[in-house]
Amino acid sequence: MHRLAFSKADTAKFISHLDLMRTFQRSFLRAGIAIKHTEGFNPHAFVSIPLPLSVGFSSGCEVLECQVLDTPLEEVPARMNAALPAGITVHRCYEGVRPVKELAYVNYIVTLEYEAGAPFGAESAIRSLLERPSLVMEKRSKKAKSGKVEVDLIPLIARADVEERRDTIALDLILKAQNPGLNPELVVAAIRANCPDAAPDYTVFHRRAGLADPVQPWDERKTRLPPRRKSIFVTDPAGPRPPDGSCGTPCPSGRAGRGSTGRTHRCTAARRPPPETEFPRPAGGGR
Amino acid sequence: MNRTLEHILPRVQKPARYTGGEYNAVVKDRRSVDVRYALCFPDTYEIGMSNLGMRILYGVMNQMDGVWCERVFAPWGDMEEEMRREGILLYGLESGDSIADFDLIGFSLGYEMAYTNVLNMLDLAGLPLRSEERYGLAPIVVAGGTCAYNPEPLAPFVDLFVLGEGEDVSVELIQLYRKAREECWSKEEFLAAAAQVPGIYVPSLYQVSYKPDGTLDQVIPQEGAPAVVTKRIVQDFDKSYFPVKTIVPSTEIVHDRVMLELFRGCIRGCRFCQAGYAYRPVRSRDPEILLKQGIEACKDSGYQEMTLSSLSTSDYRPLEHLCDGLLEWCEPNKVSLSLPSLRADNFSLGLMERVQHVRKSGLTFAPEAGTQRLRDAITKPVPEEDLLRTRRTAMSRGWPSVKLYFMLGLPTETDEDVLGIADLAEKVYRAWKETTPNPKRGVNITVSTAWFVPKPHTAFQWEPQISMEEYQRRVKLLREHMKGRSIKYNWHDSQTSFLEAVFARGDRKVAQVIETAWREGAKFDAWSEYFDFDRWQAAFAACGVDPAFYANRTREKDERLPWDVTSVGVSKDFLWRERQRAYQAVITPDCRVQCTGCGANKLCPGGKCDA
Ligand code: SF4
Ligand code: SF4
Repeated sequence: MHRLAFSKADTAKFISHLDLMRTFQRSFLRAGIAIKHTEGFNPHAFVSIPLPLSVGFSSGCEVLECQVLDTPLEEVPARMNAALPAGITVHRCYEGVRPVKELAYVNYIVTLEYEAGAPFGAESAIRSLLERPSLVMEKRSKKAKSGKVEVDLIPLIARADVEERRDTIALDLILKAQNPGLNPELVVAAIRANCPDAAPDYTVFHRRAGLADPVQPWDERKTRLPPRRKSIFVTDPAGPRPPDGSCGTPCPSGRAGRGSTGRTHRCTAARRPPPETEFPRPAGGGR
Repeated sequence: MNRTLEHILPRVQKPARYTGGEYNAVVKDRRSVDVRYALCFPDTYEIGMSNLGMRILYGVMNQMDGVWCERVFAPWGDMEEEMRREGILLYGLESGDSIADFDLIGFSLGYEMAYTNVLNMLDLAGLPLRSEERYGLAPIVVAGGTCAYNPEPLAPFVDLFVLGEGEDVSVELIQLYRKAREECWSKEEFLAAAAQVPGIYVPSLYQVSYKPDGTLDQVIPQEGAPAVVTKRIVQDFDKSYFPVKTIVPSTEIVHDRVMLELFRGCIRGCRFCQAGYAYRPVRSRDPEILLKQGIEACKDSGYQEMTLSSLSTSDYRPLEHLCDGLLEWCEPNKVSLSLPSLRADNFSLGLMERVQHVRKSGLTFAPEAGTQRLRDAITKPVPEEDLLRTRRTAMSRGWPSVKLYFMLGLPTETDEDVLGIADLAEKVYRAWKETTPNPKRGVNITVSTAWFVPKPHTAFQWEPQISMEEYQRRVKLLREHMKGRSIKYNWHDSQTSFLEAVFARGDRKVAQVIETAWREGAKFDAWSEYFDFDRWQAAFAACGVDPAFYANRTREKDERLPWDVTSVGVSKDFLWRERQRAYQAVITPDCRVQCTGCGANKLCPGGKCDA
């Protein structure tokens, strides 16, 4: 299976997941790049985009899976970029290695914007909110009878940095990606609900990286986590952060983590220095 | 992208329709253009982007050096609310710039129920509604499209109307506009000069007076404006612009496919049909050119669906040849071809089958009337035998469903004609039963009736629309006689058709009603989400205008009609003759069988039609 690493920015942020797949199918045809079709009565070009991005989010780390038939992979980005609508840029086309199910975390940059400047105390209020041992929110659900389910956000937040700038507060979040995943909109909803004084006038969401674990990029060898900012605190995906400051990654030994007591053991994985980065920045203004 | 816009878009439905940035959208450098044109469609993005005329004009104008034409659609209610709250003026999708600063604002009018949207869009642009309140040379508000053939209901709001096909006249208009600006003309000077361009109607140059009974008395042209403005046509259809490179929306629209235009006009003269008269004469495009255009358009757009779009596709002489050629390319390239608007009388099933071998979705027929007599009266020559025969073959070959379209309230219609519809549906059902290979599967027969709306420039332009009560009675009558579980009956909502009848043949007095209704919140009247008949009734009452005067009144032969100031090339005498033949239920042969001298030939080079 081949993968196209692409970014989605500017006007393209508002293209929905389904429309985006259709747009790619057409773009392959426009670019004259043959890709594998599905079998069956009504065959169509097979494309798949794991972890649908919410409408309105920008992203620098989207991935599209398909099977390029006879175009040299290095030609694909340029040809696709000439055929895609503004705001979508393909950076690389490569042979996918790691399965999608190992895409366990997503790094989001969420910018809370305040027209009158970030309110006094908002940063620390948000920080302590996210440091709570548990933070339960209602979420819409198609499965539940009531149409709603309760989720605890804390186990799904692997890392949360909060940084105040002049009239924004930036959240650098590493969230569980799937089974279950956490949409950063719910984090912002939690801020609105619990710290009304820190409620932003407007929020910008950007997906920065897909990760295999809170510090390991998923799939692409070249992609590295961006350097960390200050004020890192790490939360265990399986439970509240232990006071000893352990890393929060699922334990490779299996002694902690999922299915166990919900505590992590001590490990130093998280303290590895961040590797060199060569990360696709979101394309600014499209073409 | 504008920051405020970026802030509001996450809050609205389907935001992709407000962003622009689609593939093939034309983005020019502001500094390199001297004329900015806002091409407006007074309905949603999904509908406007499906309009071939929009795409053609967009291409034609953007081909011009120094001209940047952008698209503008009516924002849906949620977006409008956000725009008004945040103070965002209506903007062009390509640049995001407010269209109030553009030079020309052109509206495409395809449907009367979009009139309030025209006003709403002007208001959203921050412009005064009335032409006389907009001073200066920019922006000039232009309108064209089928509804412009009776421009009067919008006369106070629009600076000038373009009648007929806009390819050539838009270019001429822009050139004149440039001249006006270079020479510092006033708006009045520009409009007076524009009125001299064939096909341009400047409503403010006509003094209109009424008789005591409310009908038109005199229409006096000023400043040398022509007494009658005749529509423009593209004479050489082979050479005229076709948008091979066209915008591919990033979100789904109504007709999301390549549209190939085989010909303009229609050889038939169905007496109720405005398009049939208004687009005369027929001009076809060479099949080799079409083949090239179709294939190129598919390659360029990545569309995997192509449709042949024309008024009556099966009247295209080299249709088989064209389809063969297209299929030869389409099949290996997995592009599906569809043929809408095939007629039952020369319907070629083999062709249909070859073309739609992927999906046997359903067949559509429009006999329009239930009995042969009435079909003769409207010149819809679909002999019942033909109809049933094709239906029988179609069904035996496994087309699962049939849709039948009719109109209620056609002139001369009697209860017998109404019941004829039920009868026909029943016959179709029986035909299916006799021939179907597997009767257990069942069949879906859908009968739809619309309420007939008499339109200007047709043989029925003098006719009254039957009253709403009468229409409802006929619907009820038909409903009671529509038997059988396999037959489903839908009827069109009566209130919009009534208003359509008022606006279609309205005069300048109707303008006040439209404005009043808009001030009371009317917009998107074609959408049931927004349509409110009570609001319209209140507006008529407030303006002292009786809608029945326009909808339900029989006009006299010598009455001056509001749209007599425009001509589609077909003479009024001819239409009157057609009306009389309708009452005698005499069919008029189509243009291919015999020219019946409608007058449209004068629009052709050499004065000869090539039907
Ligand atoms: S066939 Fe009749 S109804 Fe159809 S477009 Fe032609 S004139 Fe109109
Ligand atoms: S002039 Fe004759 S051939 Fe031409 S459109 Fe009229 S009726 Fe048809």
